[in-house]
This record gives sequence, structure tokens and C-alpha cells, in this order.
Amino acid sequence: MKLQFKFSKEGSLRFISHLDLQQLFIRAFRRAKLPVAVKGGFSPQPKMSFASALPLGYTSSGEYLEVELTEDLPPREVKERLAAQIPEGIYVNQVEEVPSEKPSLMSRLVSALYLITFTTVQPFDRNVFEDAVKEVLQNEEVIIVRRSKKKVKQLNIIPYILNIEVLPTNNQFRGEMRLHLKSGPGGSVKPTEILNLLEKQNSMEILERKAHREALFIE
Amino acid sequence: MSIYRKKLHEVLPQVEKPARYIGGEWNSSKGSQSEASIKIALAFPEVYEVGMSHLGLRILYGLLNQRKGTTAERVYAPWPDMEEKMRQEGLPLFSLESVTPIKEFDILGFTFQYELTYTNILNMLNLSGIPIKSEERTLEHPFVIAGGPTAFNPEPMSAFIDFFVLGDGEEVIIEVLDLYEQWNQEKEKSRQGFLMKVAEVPGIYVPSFYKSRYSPEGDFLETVPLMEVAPPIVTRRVVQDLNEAYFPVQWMVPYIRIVHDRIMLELFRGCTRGCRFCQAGVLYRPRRERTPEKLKDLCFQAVDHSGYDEVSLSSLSSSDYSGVEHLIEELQQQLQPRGVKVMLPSLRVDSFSVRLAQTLQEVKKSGLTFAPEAGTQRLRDIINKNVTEEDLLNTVTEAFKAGWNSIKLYFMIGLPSEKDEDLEGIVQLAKKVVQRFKETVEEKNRAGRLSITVSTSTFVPKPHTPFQWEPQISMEEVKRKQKFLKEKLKGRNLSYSWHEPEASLIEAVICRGDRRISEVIFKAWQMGCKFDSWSEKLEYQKWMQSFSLCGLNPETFACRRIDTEEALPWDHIHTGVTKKFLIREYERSMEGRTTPDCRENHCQGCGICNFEGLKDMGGSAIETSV
Repeated sequence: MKLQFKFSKEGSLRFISHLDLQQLFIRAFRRAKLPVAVKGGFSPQPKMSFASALPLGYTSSGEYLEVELTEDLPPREVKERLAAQIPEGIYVNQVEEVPSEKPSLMSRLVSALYLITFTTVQPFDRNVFEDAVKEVLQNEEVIIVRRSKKKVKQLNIIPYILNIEVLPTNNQFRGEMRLHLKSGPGGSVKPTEILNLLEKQNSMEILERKAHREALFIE
Repeated sequence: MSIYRKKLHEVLPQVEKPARYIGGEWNSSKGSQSEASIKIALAFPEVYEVGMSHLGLRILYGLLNQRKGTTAERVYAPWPDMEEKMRQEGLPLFSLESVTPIKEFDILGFTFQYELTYTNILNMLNLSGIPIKSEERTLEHPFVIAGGPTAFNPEPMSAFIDFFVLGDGEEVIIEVLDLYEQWNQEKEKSRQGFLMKVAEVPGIYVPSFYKSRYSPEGDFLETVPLMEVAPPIVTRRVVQDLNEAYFPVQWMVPYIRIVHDRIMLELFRGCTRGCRFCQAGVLYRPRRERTPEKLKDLCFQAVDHSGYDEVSLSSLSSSDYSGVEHLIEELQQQLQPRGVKVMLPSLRVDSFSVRLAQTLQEVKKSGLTFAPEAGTQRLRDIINKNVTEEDLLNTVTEAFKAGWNSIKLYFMIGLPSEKDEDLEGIVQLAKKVVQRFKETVEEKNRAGRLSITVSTSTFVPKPHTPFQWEPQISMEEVKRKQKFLKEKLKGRNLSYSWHEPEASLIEAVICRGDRRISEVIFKAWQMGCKFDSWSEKLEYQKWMQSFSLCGLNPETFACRRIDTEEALPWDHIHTGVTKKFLIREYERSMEGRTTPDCRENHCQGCGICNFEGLKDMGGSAIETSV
């Protein structure tokens, strides 16, 4: 049977990578003695996949995972057994059965909603910042550069942005925005990449930034 | 949220692998909030991934957290990027469990696994805000203690450690805590008062209660007690029955990949093969096996508690476990259906071990490693490595037949009496292995290319071994020998890897050093030395500068042949194996005479067993004991 799990990732566990999170779930399922199906002969891999990899450092309240079990078990029982074996910081909120012929979560992912909070050195002017956001969104093309160890890649971020909303805060050194960004097989842009761009364009100095994924939207 | 946790969370997004510092691993302790309990910080002076891979510290951690009124928390050496941020932000070294500053603990215990981690210990003390030298600490500081294999020559670290715990820590540490509780209730406490109490516990060495004397020429003469409570000889503690000893079945599971990312099932402690260069072979005697029933029980519990899919059977020479074949079979019967693999980390040079490896690795054939240690029979007899060329060739033949085509061969260079013929012997042996492959495996059956890797480390004369009096060869000589092998170990199927000679020299100086080495380590740390065991981080020139500032010549410690009549800086530390036995072994080696393993032959008189409480305890020994 195929099960879909909705979970959140909070606190210190935002500092573990996507790969580490996979390992965490594999071990938690094994501790809970939940029989995960495997694929591949020589080095069998559990049939387990995530809707989207959450970047290191981000918290989230809307992650999805699907897992195939070799045994039919009530989702409620699975949820309880797993919850007893999962470390603090990961909370499984929902478990439901999905038809096994349904395409993978990853292929059905459409967009994601993020909340970004940051503190600034200079007092933060929300109006100025909002104008800066509008200006960026007016363009047809805004290029950011991604550097990895081996290559430098250019990316136009505009097609990925569905909406950016600058939120009011009660602290003059704090800014907050909610970003609705396209996600899924066609690639994506990280909200922190957009924040970095805005920081540079507005010659702001950001001290601390917090990124939270509020939701993943799946077809 | 405590101020430290808040600071930590500000720093973490800015460092590499932040999960090294978050704690909260599955089966880790939560850390106690109660003020009443004794707080002990267990420190491994290396980066998290290395420190978390160590079984000994896991044992103590679990054991201490079980004890009523005790909290044990962990701390590892922060990687330099983290250290920099911590210093910038004024975040002192903290425990992973509760982000408590290490300075606030009652006891801080370091494990001594390798001499090249010593500068990290000084750095960790400094990051904690604890005075580096014992004499400068006051009642507001923790007691800094240490144990582990390199603590068997405690002198080089004697200026920094309040007391050493020698031998198996399981029993002693509890006795120390009992005394701490007593002392803590005293009205007029002094550090000295507690040290006086522990000095009387067998296995405990309080260096400040002793004094070393030197001749006017600077030769070491002796170390003598200054107080009546300090015994002239401190003897190692031994846990006789491992079946009764604590094992951490609530196996801790890290969030990130660590070096040994699996369950380590300790089959037995000790090894009686008697290789004359090997320190562990002396320090962990006698051989004490756990029963198969006990091992199965521990193993299945640890698998259930951790969710790991790999178990490594770890001991000094795991295939020496009595009935190892049967044990593996029984473990696999249960574990294979659950997708849990059993692994054997070290292989003896014999076809039996190849058969074992074969049962363990049905499909995936990664490489096999064997350690003939020396290239000729003459030299192997000298070091008492009872392996013949025939043994090795038969073993690799079995391995080739079973489908392996990647083999690593470990040797040591610079062994006593080594000549170029012995190096040539390494080359010839490697070439014969290649030849064997060609004779054994028909061309059409060859899956992938044959790869034979020869790897050498440099001989380090270790305290408490029959070779403790022997010199280490000079660095020039090491380099020449490595060049010799590099030039000859070339070819399609051969490759050669080696250890940096600088690290081996510093290791030899420290391990054979006396109290004067403390100042060298201190100065090296002041100049910025840390993580010396990472070859890219080792700053050899700074070490040399530190020696010269202290007016000491490293070669006098490392490269000198010591007379067996001379006093040794570790003579007041007794492992249980007698000096008489070591001298006899040393003499036999020079005559090229081997000494058999006492479990297949009669007792060789090393002195460790008293044949009552303390004895060799293997499968057969249990049957004969009543």
C-alpha cells in the first residue's frame, strides 16, 4: 500500500540536509517495524520519496513524503507507530492512503509558499522595500548567478515567481515577506536567493534571516 | 531559550555541517535540569564524525546516564570554521545535550586515542574558559580527567590533566563519582582534597602528586610520589567479565553520516597474538570474550533500538572470536530477512577469514584488506607476525576464486633491523599476489581490473611494547624508503600509498616523551597547532619551533635506542604485563625467535593473568572454568 505523510520540520532539525532527513525516516520506519517496500537487487533502496527537498536551514510545516509498505496497515496505526520513533523536531501530522497508480508526489508538485523573516542593521522601511519588490516583478527577466563547486549557472527567476507579499511587522528592524513560488520538475528558485537579490539592489544589510516553508501545493 | 542556545542558533547557519553541533540524536540523553546531579562532560578531541564513531565513549555515556544523580553530556572539537564563529560571538564551548558551557560541569573527561589530538584538548579547554594548566584551576572549574590507550604514557599531558584513569573505565568511573559525591558534601572543600581521595583508587594517577627527576645532562631518571596517598606504581584496571559489563544497546543514531555509521558490536577485548610493535595487544590483555548468547541479545536489541541496517563485529582481531563462524551464521539468520548486514572490519591472513568475508558479502565485492606488516619472513619473525608468504598467497588465491579483485596490503616501514631487502620483499610479495591472480582467474572470468594497493605506515615505538626501546628511523630515512617503494610499486595493477613522515615523528616524540613534552605541546598550541591528525592541517615547522623553544631535540625522544637498563618515563604505570616479559620478547625478537599465541599453546608468562580473578576468557576458557 502507498501512504502519503504530511510532516513538519522544526527547531534544530532545520540544520540537517535532505539526504540526512531521508536516512532519518528510513531508520525511524525500521525502528517502528513498519515494512517498507524496496526496489533494486544489488543494493536495495526503500520505496520512499519526498515531494521536494527542503533546503538546509529552512523550517517547514508542510512537507510531504510517500512510502510504499509491503503490508496493509491502518494509516492511523502507522502514524502512531512512526510518531513514537521519530526524533523531536519532525512531526507527522497526517497519514493517508493514496492509490498506488497515482503519479509521484514530485511530479505533481506545483508551487510552494514561504515565509521569510529577516532583521536589518538600518531601520527597515516597508514601503521602500515593497516598491523594490514591485520593480523587480515588472521585469521580464531578472538573472541571478548560481555558483557550485564546478560551474557557474545563470537563471532567470521571473517565471518562477507567482507572488511576493511584503508583510507588516511590529519591529522597525525586522522585515517579513511571503513568497509564492513555482516548484516542481521544472526547477525552482529559493526564496533566500530572492532576498539576497533584494538586499543587494537596495544596499540593505541583513543580519539574520529565517526561512520557513508554509505549504507545498500538489495537483 | 538560554542565552547560549540563542547564540548557537545565530552561529549555526554560518558554519559548515551545522548538524555537528545540534545534539538531540536518537537515544541521546536529554541532559538533566536538576541542580543536584553530578554533571560530567565526555569529550572526544576530534571532529564530531570521528568522535561519534568511538565505542568507548558511547559505553561510558550510557553507563553514566544510567547512574542515579548523574548526567553525562558530550562535546567534540569544533571544526575551525565553528571555532572562529564561537570566538567572535563569545560562545564558550558547550555540551551538545543542553548547550551548557563546559566550564559549568563538575568533571570533564577526555578520551586519549591518539597523540596528535593533544593540541585539540588544549584548544577545547581554552574555548571552555578553563585554565589549560591543572595548577591554575580553582574550585569553580571542573576536574579535567583522561583515559584511553595513549594515557598509558600520561607524562606528556601531565601538566593539563588533573588525573588519569587507566584501563577499562566502566568500574573506576563509578568509584570516582562515589568519591565526588562524598567530597562535594564536605564543608571545606579543596581540589587537593578530592585528588587525595581519588589517588587511592587503584588505576588512578594524579600527576601533580609525583615529581620527575632528570640528570644534569637532561636524561630522565625517575618519577617518584610526593605524597603518601600516591602509589609508586599505578596499575591498570581490568573488567574481567564482559558479559556483566555495560553495553549501549540504546545505540545512539547521529543525524549526519559519521565515519563508522553502524552498530559496533564488541565481541571481545584483548588479543594474545603478541605482535611486538602492537600497543593495543598489551593494553587490553587478557582476552575476554562475550558469550554468543550475550552477543546475540545485545546485537538484536541495538538493531531494534537504532534502526541501523549495519552491524560491525568489532574487536582487535574479530575473526579470532571462538566460534565466530557460528555466531555470524546465527546473527545473519535473524538479521538478513530484516535487511541488516553484518560486517567484519579486519581480516586475518588465512583462508578461513576469506570464507567468513564471503558469507558476509554475498553480492557486493568491495575490497579486502590484509596486514602482513613486513615483507620478508625474517622480519615477520622479528615482529612476531605469525604469517608466512604461503599463508598470504593461499589467502589471496581464495579471495580471487571467490571473485574479489581489489586487495589492500598493509605494511610497516622502519621496523627494527629493516633492510632494503625487506622493502624489496614488500615489492616481491605484491608482485606475487598479482601473479597469483593471473594464474587463478582465467581471462574470461575477470570482472573488472585487478587492483593491489600497498599501504605503509611508519613504525612508531610505543610504550609498554617489546619494541619500546627501539628507535624510530629518521625522517630522511622514511622518505628514502618511501621513494624506494614508490619507484618499484608501479604497474597496471599496483599502487602505493603512504603516511606522512612528519606526523609519525611527532607521534613518536610525544608517545615516548616525559613531562618536559607538556611545554612543547603547550607552545605548539599557542602557535596555532590543532587538528594535527589531519595531514593538511599539521604544521610541522611550528612543532619544530616549539621543540627548539623548549630546548629539546625531538630525535632524542623518537630516534634513540634506549637501553633496557634505563628508566622509562612510563615505568610507574603498570599495564599488568611485566617488564621482564617485554624484555624477554625484545631479546627473542633480536634472535628472530617467534612466540606463539597463549590460547593455542601454553601460557607465555606475560604476567597479566593471575589464574583466579583474571584470566584468558574465551569459549574454551569458560568451559574449563568453574
